[in-house]
Formats: sequence, C-alpha cells, structure tokens
Amino acid sequence: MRAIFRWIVSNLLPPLMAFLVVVTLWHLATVVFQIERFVLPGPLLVAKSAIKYGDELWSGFLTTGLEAIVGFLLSLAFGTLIACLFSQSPLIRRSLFPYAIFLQTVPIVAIAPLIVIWFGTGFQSVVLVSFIISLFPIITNATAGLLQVDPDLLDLFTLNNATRWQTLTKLRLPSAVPSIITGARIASGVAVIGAIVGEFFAGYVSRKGLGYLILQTAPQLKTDKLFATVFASTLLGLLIFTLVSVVGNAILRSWYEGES
Amino acid sequence: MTITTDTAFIHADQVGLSFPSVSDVLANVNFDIPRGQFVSILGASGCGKSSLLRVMSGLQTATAGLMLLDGRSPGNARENNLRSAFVFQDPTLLPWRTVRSNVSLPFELRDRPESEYLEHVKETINLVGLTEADADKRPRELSGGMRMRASLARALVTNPDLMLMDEPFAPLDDILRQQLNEEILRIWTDQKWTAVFVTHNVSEAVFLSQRILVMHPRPGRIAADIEVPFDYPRTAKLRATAEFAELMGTVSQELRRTVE
Repeated sequence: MRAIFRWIVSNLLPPLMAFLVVVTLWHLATVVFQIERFVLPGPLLVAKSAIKYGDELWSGFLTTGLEAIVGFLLSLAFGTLIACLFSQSPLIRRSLFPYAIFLQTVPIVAIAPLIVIWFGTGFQSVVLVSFIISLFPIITNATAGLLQVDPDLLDLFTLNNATRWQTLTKLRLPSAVPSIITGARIASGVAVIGAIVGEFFAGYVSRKGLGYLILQTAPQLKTDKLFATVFASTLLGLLIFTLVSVVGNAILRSWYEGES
Repeated sequence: MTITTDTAFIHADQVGLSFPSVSDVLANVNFDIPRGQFVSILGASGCGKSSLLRVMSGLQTATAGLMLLDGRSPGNARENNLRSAFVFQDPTLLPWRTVRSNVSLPFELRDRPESEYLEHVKETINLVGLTEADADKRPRELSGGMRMRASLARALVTNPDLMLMDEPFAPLDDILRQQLNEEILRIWTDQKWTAVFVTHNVSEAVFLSQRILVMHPRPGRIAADIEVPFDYPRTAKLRATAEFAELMGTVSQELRRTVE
C-alpha cells in the first residue's frame, strides 16, 4: 500500500503538476491577451467541448484504438518473423534490409491514398497504414537483439550440435526479448499515429475514428472540438504506450528474476 | 600420412593456427594425451592456450598440422557422439532459465525425453554441491561460485569422455578457487574423463594435474612438458608440503622463461 502511494507520488505527481502549470498558463494567456476562441480556445472551453461531444469522441477513441492495436500486434508478429529471417544470414540481411529502411523513409501520407485505392476505405486500410508505419522499429530492434548473442553461448550451442532452429528458438529469440520489447514500445506510439493518418484518407467514407474527427473539425473552425480531439488522440497514444510498457516490464521481470 | 596414435586420445601433430594479416597464433604444437589423463595447459595471457583449446574442441580448425580426437578430427568426433564438454571462463548460463533447466540443456538439444534425464540432472546438480532449492533459481539469484558450479554441472551431466576447461575458476577468489579445485578432482577421480584444463595459475595447475604443458607465446607453442608425480586423491594438505612448493618453483621458472 505504502509502496503504491510512494510510486504515485514519485512517478505520477511530477507530470501532473507540470500539466497543471501549463494549463493554468494557457488559461491566463487566453484571458490576458484576449485571444479569439477559434484561434486558441481556453482550457475550460476545450473541457466543455470534450463533454459536449463526449459520445462522438469516445466512439472515435474506440475505433482508432482498435485499429492501432491491431496494426501494432500485426507489426509485432511480422516484424519479429522478418527479424528471425534476417538473423539467419548476412546475405539475407544485405539483400533485404534496404527495403526495410524503405518502410521508415517512405512518406506515409504519400502511400496512404494508394492503400485506399487498393484496399478500400474500411478498417483494413487504416490497420495497414498503422502496420506499415510501426513495422520498422520492431524489425530493427528485434534484428539487433537476435544478433547480439553472447558468442560463448553460440559456441555452447555449436558444441552441443544444436540445429539452426534450436539456436533460433532456444537462444536467439529468448536473448532478443528485451530488444523486442524496446522495439514494441516505440512501435506502440507510432501505431496510433499511423491509425490517425490512415483515417485522414480512409475516414471520409467510413466517417469513423479520431483522424476523421480532426479532418472534419479543422475546416469548420471548431477549434475547441479540434483541441478536444487532439487530447483524445494523445491520451490514446499514451494509454497504448503505457499498456505495452507495463506488459513488457512484467515479462522482463519474470524472464530474468524468477517467479518470486 | 599414416596415423600411428592408437594409444593417444588427443594427438596434436605440428598443429598451427594463423589468420590472414595477424601473426601466427599457434605453431608446431605437438603432444599426445592418453585417455583419462588430467593435463593442464599453463601460460601467460595471450599465449594461445585458449585458441589451442578451441582447436581441440573443433570450434576452430587448425590451419596447419593435424589435431585428432580419438583418431578423428575434432569436428567429426563431436558430430559423431564423442562426448566432449566445454567449460567456459564465464558460467555462460542462459539467464532466463533455472539452474535445472540450464543443466538439462544438452539433453534438450539432443531431443531426449525429459523422463530420461531429469533424475540424472538432479544428481549432477547435487554432485557439484548445489541444493534442490538452488536448482529452481535463476542465475541472477546465485553467487559467482554457485553459477560456476551450475556451469560445471551442465558439462558433467553428459557423462563426457573429455572435459575441456578454459580458465573456469579465474574470476573467483582464491579460497573459492581452491575449494572448487578440490571438488573437480573428487569428481574426476570418480569418473576419470580426460581433462584439459587451461589456466595461468601455477598452484592450480600443479594441484590438479598429472602433467603440465607450459606454453610459449607468439606464436603459441609447447615450451615444457612437466610431470606432476603426486598421488590421488589429493587433498588441501598437499598444498602445504615441501614437494608441492618445490614443484611450483620449477613450474614457475619454466613459465618465467617463456615471457623473458
């Protein structure tokens, strides 16, 4: 109980205080400088708007959240598989790694319309954009983890006539767990961005998701609603990132330190 | 070339090891080790003693001359069920596995059913002085000495014909090293595998072995072949005798000569 309390004080209180300070300054700024509400609405207006459009925001939150989580899980699975393939030979790495970098460098806003043309405006297209954009951090981190194996341990497996498959499943993959978790944390935040960008392009037909809400609200100059939507998106990213971090830390602890 | 080494379990004939653009690691290494002998390879740091061990294990192939284990090349011998075990300088345990599961690894890699080896694993863990409670711990929960015991158990569990040990006790403090020296001798006296023990510690070499090969650096070669006449079982008392001190002096002088 005391430990939980101390955790809250040391981990939750500082960012909360910072938040309060910023919100207060923001509020004062809008009052003192008399800024127009369509340029910068005050925090109270944004909060009011969040309540007014609560249902709409909540359903957008759920839609985008689901798309981002599915996109993230797909990139976790496929990214790890691709990294396993990369770990098997330097030739495979040299031949295919440039195309993995392509995932990182391609402007996602440029290929999202293509994806909509190819796969339609539904859920699957948004998931695909989220998947493409979050795949790279998993591939690079997992590949690094699979390759950074203690050379003595590799010798140990060689001396026991281990097969390639045994070395992969019993040595490389378990060794790579911490790196895969690092990659997953990065990918989880990016997956939300991917889902929102995907909705920019797919959402005008399906009329769903936070991305669509942003797209719809911005030209109407409902800046308070826009702010509320941006906050909802940030919250979603934070939530998924925290979830992945908590699960990741739990796995790491049970992985190395025993059940106790 | 005819092979006239019926009596030698390990036969090294003009063995050399060199890499492009590096000075020779080993050159003209010759020796015969009969089955069941306890041999120490003693030398200063960087004299090639670890490389020699790696050639014996088949992890590295000699670039000149001939190394034979039981009449076959080390790689061939290993793949055809010559039971050789390697103990590394670090315990090289898999950190996500318990001690029991680490010691079981050689059987797992040979696809043996658990029922066949679990009892033997348990006995071997006890043999090296670890308890049932230790068996369920992860390496991180153990002291350095206990980790090394677990590493020894993993090597011994296969009932090896040959134990190759690469300075296994070097990182341990002196008292612990002496205790483990006594225990490894107790097990060897019982099981009589052939032992090749690499060390830079004169006292350890004299205490353990029937024979000491002193190595000369750059390129690595055998400088002296010294017999150790003390009877087994050897106990801690041996270290306090005048004969022990005298032989240590002789061996130390040989070792000094290699670096001057």
